[in-house]
Amino acid sequence: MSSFSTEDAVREALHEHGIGLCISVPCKYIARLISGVGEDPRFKLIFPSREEEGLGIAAGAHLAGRGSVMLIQNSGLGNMVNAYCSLNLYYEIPLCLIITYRGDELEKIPAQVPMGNRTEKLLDLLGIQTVTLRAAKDLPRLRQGLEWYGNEKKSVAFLTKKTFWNIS
Amino acid sequence: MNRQEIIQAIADLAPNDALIVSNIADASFELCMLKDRPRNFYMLGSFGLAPSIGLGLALSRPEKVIVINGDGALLYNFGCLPTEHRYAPDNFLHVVVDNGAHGATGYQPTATSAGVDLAAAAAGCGLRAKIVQSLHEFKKAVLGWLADSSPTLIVAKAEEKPPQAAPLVPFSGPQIAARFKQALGS
Repeated sequence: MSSFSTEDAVREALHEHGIGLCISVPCKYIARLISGVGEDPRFKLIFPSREEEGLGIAAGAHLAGRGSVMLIQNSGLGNMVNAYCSLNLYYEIPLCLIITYRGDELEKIPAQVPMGNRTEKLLDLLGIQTVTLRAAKDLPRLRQGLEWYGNEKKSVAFLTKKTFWNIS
Repeated sequence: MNRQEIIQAIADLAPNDALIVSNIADASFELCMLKDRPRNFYMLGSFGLAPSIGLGLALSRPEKVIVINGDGALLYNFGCLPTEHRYAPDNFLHVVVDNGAHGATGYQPTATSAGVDLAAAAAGCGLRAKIVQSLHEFKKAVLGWLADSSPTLIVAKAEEKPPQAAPLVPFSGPQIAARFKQALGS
């Protein structure tokens, strides 16, 4: 199975951990993951207008007993801070995030950098358990993190570098 | 009509197993006062997100889902309208109590007081939207949705405020979420 890609492995891991709803404000780093999710009948894919709205949809799904993940850029994390505090933290509703790390040392677009510089601190401030994924060899850490999320019922963010998605 | 009459009508007409999500502040306080039930989700923060939470529920459960929103809150999360057009299933109803003001913060006028037509905006987003001016029309619209899933968004033009304010919701966030999930077996 040499054609089994990182994106395929991520989809399998999400499915195996009971996640069937994917909510995305897109990023080009994960264009292949998003199109793969859209073509996979095991998933329902939703594109909200912005991240805060997606967080609400994910919270509703959680209350209904349905597992979901948000696929967003770190810039979008900044768009959902109050909602995360007053909905997820206040009601104890966990959230699973796969975040593409824009504005890091690999970034080509300078406007992404100020938010990139603050992303890890922001996740820490919000109390979100963060797992950084740098390369395909980190895939077991995705599975471990999803396991932890399922058991602990606390929010987790997978902060994914460009190199994890084999983007040059 | 005022917001409490609208909420009372929703509470009276909703099926017993319906899930009701209410907007921050007065809508939640009034729903709790008029008909508290475990299948109510009182949203006490996250301004604007009541329809988004309701959409997540409606996509995941077969029961009817009714969102009690306000005009200010809809304007704050206006992007929810195109999302509803793309994804909302037939069990989803979005009620906007349009009093033209941000009641919880001192009745500052919203854009609807300057003529913005939320039903027309919703229709522009492809939703089956209806604007109602009386309690009788409102009840008829809700019964219409219960019968054949149309309209999916009702803008109820309301008086600025009800004669009497409702007390705060006496439950904490975790209590609201826990009893809601327990009622659904989730």
